[in-house]
Amino acid sequence: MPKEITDDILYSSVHELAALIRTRQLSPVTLAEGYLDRLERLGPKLGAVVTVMREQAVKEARQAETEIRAGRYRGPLHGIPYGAKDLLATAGIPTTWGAEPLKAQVFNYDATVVKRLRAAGAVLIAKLAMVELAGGFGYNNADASFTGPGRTPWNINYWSGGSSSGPGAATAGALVAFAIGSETSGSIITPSAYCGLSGLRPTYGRVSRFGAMALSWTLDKLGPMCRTAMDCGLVLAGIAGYDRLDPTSARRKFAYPDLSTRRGGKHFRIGVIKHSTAVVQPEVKTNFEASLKVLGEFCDIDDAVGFPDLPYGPVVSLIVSAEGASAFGDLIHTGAATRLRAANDRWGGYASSMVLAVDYLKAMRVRVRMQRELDALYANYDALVAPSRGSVAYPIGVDFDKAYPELSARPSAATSAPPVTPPAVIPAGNIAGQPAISVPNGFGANHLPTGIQFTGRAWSEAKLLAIAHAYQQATDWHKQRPPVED
Amino acid sequence: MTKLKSQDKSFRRTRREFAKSLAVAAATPLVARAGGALEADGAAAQQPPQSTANPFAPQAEALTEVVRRRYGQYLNDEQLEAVKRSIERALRGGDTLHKFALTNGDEPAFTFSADLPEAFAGAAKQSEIDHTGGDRAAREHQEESRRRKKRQPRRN
Repeated sequence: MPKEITDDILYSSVHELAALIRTRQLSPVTLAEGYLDRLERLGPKLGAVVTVMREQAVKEARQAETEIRAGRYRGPLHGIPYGAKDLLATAGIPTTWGAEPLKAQVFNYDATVVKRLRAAGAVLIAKLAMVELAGGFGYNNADASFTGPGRTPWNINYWSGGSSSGPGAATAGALVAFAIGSETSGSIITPSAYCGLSGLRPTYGRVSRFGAMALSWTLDKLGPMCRTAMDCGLVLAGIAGYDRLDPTSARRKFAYPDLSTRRGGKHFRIGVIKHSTAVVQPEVKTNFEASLKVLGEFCDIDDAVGFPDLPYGPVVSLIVSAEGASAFGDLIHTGAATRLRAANDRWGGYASSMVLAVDYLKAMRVRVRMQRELDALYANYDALVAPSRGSVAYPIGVDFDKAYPELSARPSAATSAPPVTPPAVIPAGNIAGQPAISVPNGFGANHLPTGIQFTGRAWSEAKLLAIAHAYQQATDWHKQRPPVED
Repeated sequence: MTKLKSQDKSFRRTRREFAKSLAVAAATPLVARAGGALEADGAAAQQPPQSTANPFAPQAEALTEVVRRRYGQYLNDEQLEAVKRSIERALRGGDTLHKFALTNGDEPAFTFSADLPEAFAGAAKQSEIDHTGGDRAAREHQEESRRRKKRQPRRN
């Protein structure tokens, strides 16, 4: 007997939904329709949706149901409805890249990630909103999509984060069971933190980028945004792997880690990145410290790990600017860039187009040195941890650099000491191509979520997922539901 | 509506003035400074304090002139000023990296290979990959592989 679609169902994890679908207690069609109704009803309120794919979704859900009834169960993603950030090509359906000049863009092929999820039986139900061009032209305000600002379901006066703004809002608001986002430098981790999600940035090359809009060929990664770390593992297992159409994809298999067994004792070694709470809101710090207490129950913790003091910011900025200006050269040369939504985006590409080639190449050479130093550090730990973001979500309508002016570099306890600059953990991890997962760890101002990020050595996703899952076994922040209906 | 710089006769610079600005930029010594950060998620970067001497300004001015000459018809004065500030930040960032003593053997984080990527090997053309999404090329490759396997004798 198919289950009635309640909020309990819609807010269930992929793992929980899979059990219900596999045992035929829940119809994929009923589930898809439940999410579709919610997408249509709440999607505009959250600025989360570009295209609802009702007809195609119901067709795929019916196919899933038929197969499951015939005993052809494909795995834990079979019959699970999901949303795709609107930079993933979907044949015959607009793929807008969040940009007004590209609203009518349609490809005649699917991105590899979309194909793999279809092969796994997942049901694509929506193309989700994003910051135009994944933020590559330097936006400084949440209103940077032609669909308007993405809003966190926890408080719709605040930004959902970006550039995967729609995946963040839609997954947190239970408009989809999971979403695929992307990250060049922060675009999965940030909305995951601001929306109270578990979001995984895989190692560069873990997931094929074929069919995904490129902002930066050497920095872009696609990854899952879900309600739990376990779900991130399930989805990653469905999309990871070598793809001949993406020569940067790695010939490495990802095996879904067995997270079901709880072991006693301390079996992870983690390090706390020194100064990572130097410039954060008070609740971010409080929640982070509480998280460390929980982690201490099953991890050996090294509580002040020095992070290599290297110019990550300039390196990532030069790479994104140069590669982005090249990738979006058409928009720049034709003037179409001046029709983008955010004020900074209308001129940002022109500035980026003037990055000197020798500066870009210098950044790419220094990058290798950074990779080596970071790898040498990470070799000693299963993960290094830090707050995912220094603040809760930014308010809508306020430029980012004015959102939380109190968060400037502050002196340390001794008044004569110089200001402490926190390590740029997100740019560093992206420069080195390393994975990271953000999971919720509490609430801050205006009842907005905060997050903790676990960062790891290249190809260590299984370990990061195991640690994050163990953390979620000991806490229930990931089970909280936003007041999105209010 | 703000008149674009290219339309404003009072702003038009002579070739001599432009060449002079480039010469000034080239002669300005580089000074190592920390650069700003631009994150693709839009988080605002913390900018280092500006010193009173600004060696990057003439360089930024010159590069902004390039932008004006190439794209002036798309940008107003306010936007060109913003472009100039952004170019200056990028120049500062690039300058920061000059502190790194790299050797000739330090290669950039990408490699070129004389072997074609697998997707392009064989009969598939670039245009087919772009417009058919690789499916056609992938199918042709698979068919060719199957034909090869059929031709090979079995080994017991």
